[in-house]
Amino acid sequence: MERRLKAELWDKMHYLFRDYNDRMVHVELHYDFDLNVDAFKTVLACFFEKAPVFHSSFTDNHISPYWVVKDYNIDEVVEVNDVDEEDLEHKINAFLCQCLPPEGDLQMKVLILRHSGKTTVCIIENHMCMDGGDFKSFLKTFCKNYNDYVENGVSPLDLRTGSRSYKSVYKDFSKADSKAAQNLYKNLSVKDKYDRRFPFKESSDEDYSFIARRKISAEKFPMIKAAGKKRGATINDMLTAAYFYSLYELAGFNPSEPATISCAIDLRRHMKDVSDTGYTNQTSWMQCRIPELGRDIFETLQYVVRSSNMFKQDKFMGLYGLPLLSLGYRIMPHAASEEIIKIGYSNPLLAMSNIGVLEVDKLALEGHEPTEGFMSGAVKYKPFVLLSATSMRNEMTLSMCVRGSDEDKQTVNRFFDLMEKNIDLLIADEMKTE
Amino acid sequence: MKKVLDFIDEAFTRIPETDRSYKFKMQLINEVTERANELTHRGIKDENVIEDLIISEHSDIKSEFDSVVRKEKLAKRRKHIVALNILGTVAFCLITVIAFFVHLFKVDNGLSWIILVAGAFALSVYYTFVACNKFRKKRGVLFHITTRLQLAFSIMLAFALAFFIMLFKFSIIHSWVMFPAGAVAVLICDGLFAHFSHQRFAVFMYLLYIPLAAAVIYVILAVIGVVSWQAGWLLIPAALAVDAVIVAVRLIIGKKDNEEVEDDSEWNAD
Repeated sequence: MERRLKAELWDKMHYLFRDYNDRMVHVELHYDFDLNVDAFKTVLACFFEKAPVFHSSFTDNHISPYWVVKDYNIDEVVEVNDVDEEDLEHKINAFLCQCLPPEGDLQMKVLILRHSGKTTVCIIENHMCMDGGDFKSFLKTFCKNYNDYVENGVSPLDLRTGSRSYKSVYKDFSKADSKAAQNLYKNLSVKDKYDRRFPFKESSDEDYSFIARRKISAEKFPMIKAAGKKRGATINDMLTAAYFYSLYELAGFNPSEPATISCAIDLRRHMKDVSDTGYTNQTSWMQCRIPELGRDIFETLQYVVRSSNMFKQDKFMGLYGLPLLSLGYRIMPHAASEEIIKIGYSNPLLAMSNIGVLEVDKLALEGHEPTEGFMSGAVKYKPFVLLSATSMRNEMTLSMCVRGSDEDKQTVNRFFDLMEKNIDLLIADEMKTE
Repeated sequence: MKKVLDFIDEAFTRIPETDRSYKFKMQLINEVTERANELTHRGIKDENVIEDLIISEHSDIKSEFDSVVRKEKLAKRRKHIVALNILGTVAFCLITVIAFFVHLFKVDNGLSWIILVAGAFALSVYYTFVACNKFRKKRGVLFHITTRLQLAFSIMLAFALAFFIMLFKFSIIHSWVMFPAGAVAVLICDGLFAHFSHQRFAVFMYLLYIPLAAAVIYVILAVIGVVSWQAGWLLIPAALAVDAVIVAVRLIIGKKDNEEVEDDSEWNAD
């Protein structure tokens, strides 16, 4: 008899997002040694056994969708190739830009590329299974288990398992707060009347998926931090301000008109302990709105700080609308609820996800820390865009995954140029001091 | 597999030796052997890892055994209930038919058919209850909609039966008021159900049901002459006033709840 898993609220929501993105989360890690492929496969197979959603197929049942656990062989999950240095980038991009259909048997795939005594690990996974926050945690646990297995022969079974329900987010609230949070029916996903869009070309048949990235040198990271601290801003605020400023410049928005960028927030901030929950999605959006561009980037930063502080003061930050979504999915058959939710839900046109630090010590394999790497969100379909930011050893990687043309790629690269320029403006004082 | 088998043997020292436990142990051994083959097929080559993985999946064999025994007992009980339902239905039908004939031949006042109708009503109510209960267990539907429908159906059946008895046994002219009265009873019971099962939107039901019920009660009372048509309509504004009071009370309670939430400074301290 087939084994079925419940499709949780976020699974359904990310399935609904199929109209906006390819739902893949990407990670790329470079190591300066030949890793033990057999051990890698063993650890991953154990994780697949502990979290069967990764080898399940999503069934879009019109009444109530579900996952069906499928058989697999770890060799179908992990592909190992020996490549020349010059082919490396091409292979990485080809792998990362593919899309795993949720109806397929596998929701995660890994590519291990061995080249000149080094190893590059690329992983893609379906966002329906887990978000960037949990993916980071998954990777860290993976590395720990791999090391324990290779170095001490400990079986790699130490993976979090438990409920994947969105309701886990309420578990650490007081009774009164939990009740209040579960009554937040307000729909915060309101369409912006200014309809600010990234200046892409119209969609065409020649569009393809690409991941554009830009590295911000490690020396600048502490400067961003220090400059932000001076102005009461977080790194996220600094990046958002640069994002706004670059966008106004790139798209030629009227500087006296407002704009909104949705920033991903990790709802696990409301949870004190996640050790008893399974890998899942717990992400929501915070709308960062500026009333106008501002006379200079510092005024833009002020607007951003004001907007994000307003959100942060709310103890139920990010929890609005969850009960409404849940109600929508409960009272109607899935096919109907999808249509109704689509009417009420407005996918952010401009978004940013600060995935945060990829801690090299926790991602080390056999004592070798990754030399470089990044993580990024799904490939967005035009006109939607998501700027992902990760940092490793203070080197920040900005990435944008887009389905577009070569011209769009150039536009994204121009945007990154502007981002760099505007970040430099923000940290100009710090650079002078250096 | 020695490690797993040893683990199973060790676990079974805490389970009393019975035929059932022996059967369970054999099933478990088959299951873990199959699982080991499956894991090998999936690409795990290290036998130690396979064994540890299997052991982690059966960390509490005693609870597994208890759960299997419990499930078997439950399945047996379900079978008994089905058999009891069938036997009970047959017996009930027999008794009803016998009662019908006894009444027909002994009393013969032309109303013996009521016994058959009442019997059929009782069976309908019971089986609606059984069917709804089964459906409800399968899937939690908002407001326990099936239970509410079952409740409404049963109430209407009871009032329909009362209508027949009042009309044919006592020849009451206004017997038909049992139908609107049934509707009022449905509204009241549905409201009470929502209240006692702590439905989130129960208050909206009270707000809707109270004026509706008041309007129907007004018609019933006016028809049977308890209140005059001219004065009775006051029941409706009275019901709306009750609604207003409910809204006010809810707002006060809601405000108090919000204040309590805001006062909870522990969270803010984080």
